[in-house]
Amino acid sequence: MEDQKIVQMYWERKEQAILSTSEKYDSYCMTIAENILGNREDAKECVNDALLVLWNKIPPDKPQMLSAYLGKIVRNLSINRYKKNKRKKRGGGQLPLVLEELEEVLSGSRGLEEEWEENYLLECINAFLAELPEEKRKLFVCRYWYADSIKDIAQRFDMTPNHVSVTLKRIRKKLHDYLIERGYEL
Amino acid sequence: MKEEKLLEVMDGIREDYIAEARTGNPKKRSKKLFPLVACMVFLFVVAAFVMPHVQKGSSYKAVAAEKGKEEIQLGATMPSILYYGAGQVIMYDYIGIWVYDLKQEQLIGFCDFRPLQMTQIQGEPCVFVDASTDGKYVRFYKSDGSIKYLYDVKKDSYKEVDDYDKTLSWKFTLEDVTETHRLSDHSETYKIGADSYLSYKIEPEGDETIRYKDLILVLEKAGKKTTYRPFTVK
Repeated sequence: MEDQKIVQMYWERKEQAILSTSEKYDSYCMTIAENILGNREDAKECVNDALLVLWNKIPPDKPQMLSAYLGKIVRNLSINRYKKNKRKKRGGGQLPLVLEELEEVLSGSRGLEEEWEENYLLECINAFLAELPEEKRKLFVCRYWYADSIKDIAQRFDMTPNHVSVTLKRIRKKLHDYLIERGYEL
Repeated sequence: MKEEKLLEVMDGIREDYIAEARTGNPKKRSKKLFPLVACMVFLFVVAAFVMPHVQKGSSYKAVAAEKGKEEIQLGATMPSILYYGAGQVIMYDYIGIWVYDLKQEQLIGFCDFRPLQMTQIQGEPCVFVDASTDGKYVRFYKSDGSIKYLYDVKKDSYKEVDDYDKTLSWKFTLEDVTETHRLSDHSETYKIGADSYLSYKIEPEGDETIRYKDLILVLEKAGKKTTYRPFTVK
């Protein structure tokens, strides 16, 4: 079913919308959640919660890209669950590795707590991604948005894991330099 | 943690980038991995081009010889090594799957992707290729799940399937150690055991165009290296 029709069903408050969303995007959502959480049961709960959040957000929202919109919800819930699990000393997944890699981008930086700084940082990241070649942008998003494993990315893009790691490292360095040029004190 | 903050900020990246990352699979092999795989694949591919339905035996020699004359593309479509075990190496590229026997020093199997319209190992939907853990089968299928094939290595035959036998495992991988065991600019090396490595390198003669015949397999065990030229018929 087309996304527009699914969104329309949400607006019409038809519960079939949830079923259709689940049928179409369950695998997609589970991948995101499992990548972050490394735990299928927790991932399943997050995906179910995401469907409820989606139901509550549409309307008034009317997403143009339902997959990305839903993916963001799942990612958010999964990260929150990850933090919760971390506090409980359980769980794992790709997130610790992803965080470790991102650490070098902002090592020593200050003042990102302010909302305006976060917005500016987001603008910079989007601008940075816009300048990247499509393939590298996809690699970056797969790793740092979807939290895909290096192995999965390598298979998806038909590259060696080593090649993926090296490419990501170069992109991180590039982003690091890009942020410095735009005023971040790193 | 700053990295957690960055991760959260990235939640707001453009939705088209998020969607884009899942809508296209460039399916580009790294040059390091591709050379070895490509070499082997090309060997088999050469055979495939010449004799798409060749049988095991001497007919593969003709295929290998003919394919050896063809040019290797050192790019995204270079071959890949899928499997090593029991004296066999399985490779593939966009043309098909090849099986090379290290003892017989010749091709012993080939599955041609072209008549099946499964040559698109890049783009969307693309064709994924995996070897079974035991090396007896190779599956190749479109990323959208619309078409699935299973190649039987021993029988050297393929068939279309609705789904893959769940008892089959597809987790075979080789550890890429090219960074520490690089043989040349166009080479890849995989660790296949303690102090054992399988590599391929492409060594063109002079300034000639690089062809499949320039592909050399190198099997190293306890420091002793044995070379094979899949596309050069003795």
